[in-house]
Amino acid sequence: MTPEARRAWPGVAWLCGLSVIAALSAPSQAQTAPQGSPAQASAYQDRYIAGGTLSPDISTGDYGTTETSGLARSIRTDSVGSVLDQEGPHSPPRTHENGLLAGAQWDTVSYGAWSADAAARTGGARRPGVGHDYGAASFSLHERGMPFDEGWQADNALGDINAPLINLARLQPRFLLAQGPMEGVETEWRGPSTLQLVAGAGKPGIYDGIKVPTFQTLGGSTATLGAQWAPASPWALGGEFAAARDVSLYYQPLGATFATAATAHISSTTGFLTAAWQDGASRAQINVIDGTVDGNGNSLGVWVDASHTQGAMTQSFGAFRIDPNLAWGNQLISSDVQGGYYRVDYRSRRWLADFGVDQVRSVSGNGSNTTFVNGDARYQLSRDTGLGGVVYVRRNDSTSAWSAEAYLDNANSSGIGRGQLDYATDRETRDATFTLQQTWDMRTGTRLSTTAAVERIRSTAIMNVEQDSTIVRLAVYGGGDLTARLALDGSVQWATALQGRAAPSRSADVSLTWQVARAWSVLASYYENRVGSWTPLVVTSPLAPPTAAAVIAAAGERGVFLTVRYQVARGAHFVPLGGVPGSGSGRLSGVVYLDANENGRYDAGEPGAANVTVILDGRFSVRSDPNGRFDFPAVAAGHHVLTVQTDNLPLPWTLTNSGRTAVDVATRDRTEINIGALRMK
Amino acid sequence: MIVRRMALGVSLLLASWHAAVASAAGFAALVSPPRFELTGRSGTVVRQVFELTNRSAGPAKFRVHTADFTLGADYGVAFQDELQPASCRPWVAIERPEVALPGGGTIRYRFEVQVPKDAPAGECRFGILIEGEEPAVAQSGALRLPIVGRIGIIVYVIVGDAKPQIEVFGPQVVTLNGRKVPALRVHNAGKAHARLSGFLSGTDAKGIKYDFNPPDLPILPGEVRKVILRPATSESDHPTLTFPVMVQGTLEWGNQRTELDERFE
Repeated sequence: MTPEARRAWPGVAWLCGLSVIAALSAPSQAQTAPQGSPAQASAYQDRYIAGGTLSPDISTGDYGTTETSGLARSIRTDSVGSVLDQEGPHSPPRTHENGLLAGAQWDTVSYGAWSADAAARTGGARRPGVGHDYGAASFSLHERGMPFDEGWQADNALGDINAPLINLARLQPRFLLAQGPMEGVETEWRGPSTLQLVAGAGKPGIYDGIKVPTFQTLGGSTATLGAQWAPASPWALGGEFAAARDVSLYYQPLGATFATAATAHISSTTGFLTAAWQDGASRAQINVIDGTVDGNGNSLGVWVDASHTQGAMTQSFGAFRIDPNLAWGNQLISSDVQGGYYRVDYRSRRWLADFGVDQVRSVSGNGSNTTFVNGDARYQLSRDTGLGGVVYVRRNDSTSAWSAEAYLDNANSSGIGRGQLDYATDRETRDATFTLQQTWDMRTGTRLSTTAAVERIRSTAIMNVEQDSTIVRLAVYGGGDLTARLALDGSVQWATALQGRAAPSRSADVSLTWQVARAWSVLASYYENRVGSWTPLVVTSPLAPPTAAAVIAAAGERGVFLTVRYQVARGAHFVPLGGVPGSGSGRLSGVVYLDANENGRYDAGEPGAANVTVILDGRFSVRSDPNGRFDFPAVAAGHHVLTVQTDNLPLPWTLTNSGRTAVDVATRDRTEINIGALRMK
Repeated sequence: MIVRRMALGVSLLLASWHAAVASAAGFAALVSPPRFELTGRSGTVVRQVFELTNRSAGPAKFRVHTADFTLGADYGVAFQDELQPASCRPWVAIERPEVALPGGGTIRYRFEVQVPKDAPAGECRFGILIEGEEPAVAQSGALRLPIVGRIGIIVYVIVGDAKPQIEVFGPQVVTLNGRKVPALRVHNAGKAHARLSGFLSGTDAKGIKYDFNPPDLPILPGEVRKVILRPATSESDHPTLTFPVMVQGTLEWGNQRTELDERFE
């Protein structure tokens, strides 16, 4: 047997198993015809469209090379030019976001997979509502999965990155320790017995920019050091320490009550200890956090989470007491709360249901005492039809609010449709909405979904001025290949008042991609965002993490972007990600999106999560584009796991278990996976 | 046992094809989508596109042609190049007989189905075969076997108001992977293929509750098929049943349905 054949046969044997499944479940069929068999003889003469004279619609593919030797490596550069117009009382004159983005990935045999991303921007006009100038640049360098003896692996990074966390701190059902963005270095080591060591230090900051992500440091410094270890099954122990010196708080709570919210800069020191126990379907974890902000005395937090799965039912519950004035680095965490929660989930082929109740009281007495109840049920009436409803009730000392939603999903002859009724009310606002959504069956390579909604909102929430408006909202998300070289993708949303007074809302992000030559393409995109003068009422849990300070959007902003892209890959084309040379591969792509209606589908009007990192098998990463789309063009056939670094998700959106999604990629197939972030309850 | 033999047959068939992919650079292609289920009215033209991507290093040529097909008892596909009786391939026009693609290149390949004005309600079925032009060589030890890699796309075009009509016969018990499972004999007396689905639940002799899932496989017009109802619980996808087993629920295909209340023993 030749070396090539020897390498091939184990893969063949493995693929055979997959093939049986594919053959029995998928319509795609493949077979072998011995040479010279009747299959070779064309007994029937096919007819050809226009006599076979159509010009072939051929694109040169995702790879600008035929160089196949070596391990996977690729490079991409985007030259971006733009014109941005802003509206509003204090808006600056026309500005430009021009810059250069560059990204590279290369796999190594002994030093893991490397990736580097850089962006540089010219032009420095201040955007309305943003309390600082654009940063000029951003840069990051990642090394993932560097192997060592005895099963050790290391991830290292420097540049504009996110502070590291041990896994036990990251996988929290209720209280999150945020991974703040910083300009610095981090390292993570994983060893036997699930030993994990993390460390990082740098200057905290924030990302900015529309198409050219740049990083702006906010002063001060942060550092963190942590470890976790599983000394004996079923126990795992962990601890992490975070310190910040003279930093700006990154998040401000709505209705700020944080003691140092008005202070320009704070210093904090916080320690976190945790112990987790897991035995089959039961899990419990106890967490202790202790720290001080600006030396204003010690604050202590303790919380316990537990869950148990039996059959189709999972119950989870917990209790907590967290003193006021706690921070994790320069990130606020939920504090000044005590209470408990209970949640039960039930899943079967026909039923999806969950019920939860939170009881939250203020430790200091300065905050409110709140009870929050949520119920959610969906029943699959038939293969094509499902119906469901969601209820939220929130009651505190002085006010109460509730919302209800009912919907009907139906797979119709045109695709999948949904009709939905929403009603929400609190002391100041009554908000009723009827929504129709449709995801349309389209030709190969195209996609389209539409949303139409009518909303009646009566509110005195804005400056005590009574507003009574009926608003109609239309949204379209779609795209596809117009030809093999020309693709259109985008989402458009428009809303205006049919009755009453309300400023209209418009948003659009539409891109046209033209593949000019093998490695060169041109992207033209139009961006517009005009915020309407109303805010839909959303009833949320008091345990949702502190909301990001509302970066006041410009009253209106629109722009045109032109990007010239150069992209080449070598080796990767024939060494699919996670595979070996010659193994079958498929394409894996999708969208990370904010699932506002929590129906598990990407609907028109639901924004994509831009600039989040999607990681394949913990090793290969891509960043989502401004529409939230990500793409792995060549992935080895078989089982893979996608995870998402949630740090760039806007709060209060979150992905359970880091968006961990198991996916099977089939040879020669295209797999589309959309990962929806949910609003924290 | 029958099912196991079916699976073995399919796996052997496909193993040899994968050998072509794994060992020869002459044929490595990706086709999307793998199946079309279309509708058309008499006197109209149904136009569609599939994408064919050359996954090999250098340029490659592919031969594209139509074929009739039959589904075996194991759902293995047998393609026939010769025109079969009642074949609708004369309605079909494809873009070109040969495609030349650069390494990594993709063609949006067009085909159309011209439904005649006098076409009765029914279903037009055919395959589009993509074959590597250069024969590949699969080698195992001293054996060298020249083969032609081939991918088949299955196309269904429902003409007019053709619909499947499913008749369910008496229950039976068959052995699947060493475990006894309930099955139904199903006859499609309609004019279009059917794919069964539905929500079935039941209880075995020990009083344990199960969900039962019919496979999503095509049942062509005129065919009689044995449809295995795979049991599942929230704890296991491969439970062992104790017979007799009672199964109730709704069996669905297209926009039609029937209620099922059967005892299997």
